[in-house]
Amino acid sequence: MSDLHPDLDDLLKPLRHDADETQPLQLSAAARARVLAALQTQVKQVPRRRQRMRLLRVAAPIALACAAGFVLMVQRAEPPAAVHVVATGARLSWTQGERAARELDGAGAELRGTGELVVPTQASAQLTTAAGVWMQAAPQTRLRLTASDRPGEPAVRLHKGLLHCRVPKLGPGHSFVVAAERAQVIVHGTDFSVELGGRETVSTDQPCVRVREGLVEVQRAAEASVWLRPGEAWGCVEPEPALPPAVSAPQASAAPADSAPPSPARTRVRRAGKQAGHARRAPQLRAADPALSTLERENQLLGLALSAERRGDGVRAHTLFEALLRQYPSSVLTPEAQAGRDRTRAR
Amino acid sequence: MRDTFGNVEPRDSVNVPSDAEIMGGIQRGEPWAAVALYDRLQELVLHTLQKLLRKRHDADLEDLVQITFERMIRFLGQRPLEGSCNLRGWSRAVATNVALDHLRREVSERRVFVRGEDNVEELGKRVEQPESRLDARESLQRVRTLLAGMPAKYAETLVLHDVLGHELTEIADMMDVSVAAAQSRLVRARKDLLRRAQRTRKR
Repeated sequence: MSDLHPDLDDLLKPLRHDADETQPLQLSAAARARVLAALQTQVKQVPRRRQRMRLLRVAAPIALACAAGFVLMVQRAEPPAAVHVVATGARLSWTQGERAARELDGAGAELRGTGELVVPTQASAQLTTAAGVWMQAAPQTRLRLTASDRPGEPAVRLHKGLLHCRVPKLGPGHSFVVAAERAQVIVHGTDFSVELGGRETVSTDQPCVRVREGLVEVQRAAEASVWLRPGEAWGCVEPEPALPPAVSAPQASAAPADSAPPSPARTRVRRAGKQAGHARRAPQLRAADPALSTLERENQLLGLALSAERRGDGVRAHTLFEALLRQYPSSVLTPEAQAGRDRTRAR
Repeated sequence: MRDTFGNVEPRDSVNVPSDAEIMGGIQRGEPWAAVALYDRLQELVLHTLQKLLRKRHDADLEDLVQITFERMIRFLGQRPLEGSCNLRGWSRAVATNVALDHLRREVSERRVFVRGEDNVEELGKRVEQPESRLDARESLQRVRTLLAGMPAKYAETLVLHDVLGHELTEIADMMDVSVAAAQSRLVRARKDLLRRAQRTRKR
């Protein structure tokens, strides 16, 4: 204590004085008896407490392992994605693995796990996923629902036919995928259709993709992605076929509650990229089509204008840009349209 | 030979059990071990508590003695002391810990200044002049308040070393840390106490 700072030494001095010598250094007999009784009771409990601690030491890792196992089990046993399906016209067929095919009617059904859905000639099917993806499968369509990277959401593989999809804006890092032969259509929130085979003029090994709203990426193995904008198509050789009424007019307000397509995300059309040249000319959709929403018409006009500009038809492109700006002055696409109008005017 | 509780008493010719026998008895749950532990250490525990708290013998002090022994029994029930740590030194560390807890509780309840007279009675008696008695009382109250505000491990190390005079090696054994850690705690504790003292002086 000799190395103590003088201030510290002064500070602690009062504590260093011994306590009063007149104070006995033991408790009274009564106090001693009281304290000893309490201590003896405590000592008697020591073996039981030790045993409890030993048990706890053994049980705790076991309990932890059980809990971890349970969590894993629950995660694995999580029910696969459910898709609500409603048949129109005739019954659909749903087959899962080796099980017998299940027939689905207009009352609607929940489809879980991986399986194949077949839409016969006289029927069509409306499918809705938990995330709000709405699909309509045309007659003579065969598709397979599988698990995706998005928990609770299926991925779709189109074997044959026509599938029209409306995808709401999905969370960051999530996408909705339709695989068709050697191509994958990846969606982040849009309105589009994929067709494979089914008609004589539609190829059976390359799908035809048409985009109504938003931005769609088509990936083919070992090839650069093709980005499709509203009004653009890829792999199509003829116009989109006439779809059943529920398909061609997917208005949320007009459709029944259980089959109403979700409103698509308001996706801004991006500028044409290098790959845009791969996109073939889209079928000419009529701007006045009452089935199209305002956003769809805006997108369609811009898509048509951009297509015309790419083809070198500056006059038509300019007219379409002007029409878009005149009809929808407060559109979110206004900056794109103004830029396009300025470009085509200069030519 | 069995005692009144039916337990086998330690086989010592003069019936004075060793530290190891007492610790063994506690682990086996034999009540004689509690009596032996109390008889062996009660003077030391009482002395430490009185030195730090300056308490008269009252129900509070009885409680603190009981709390000190209960803590010792709870610890020894789980595992015996290891290495060179002996029961006597360790009991002072436990008593210091109990006393500092008590001080902290007192400060937090703001009783430390109100009940000053019974805490410093004996210190005051040593000094004849009333002014000196007042000064001594204030100094004691001050250091106690400062200690109560310090982190427990620092305050305990400081009291064990600078007030009760234990060696760092003993403190390291008592607190189950390395000697280097004990030394580091002591250095930090001293700095902390000085800083707190300077801060209160400025006010």
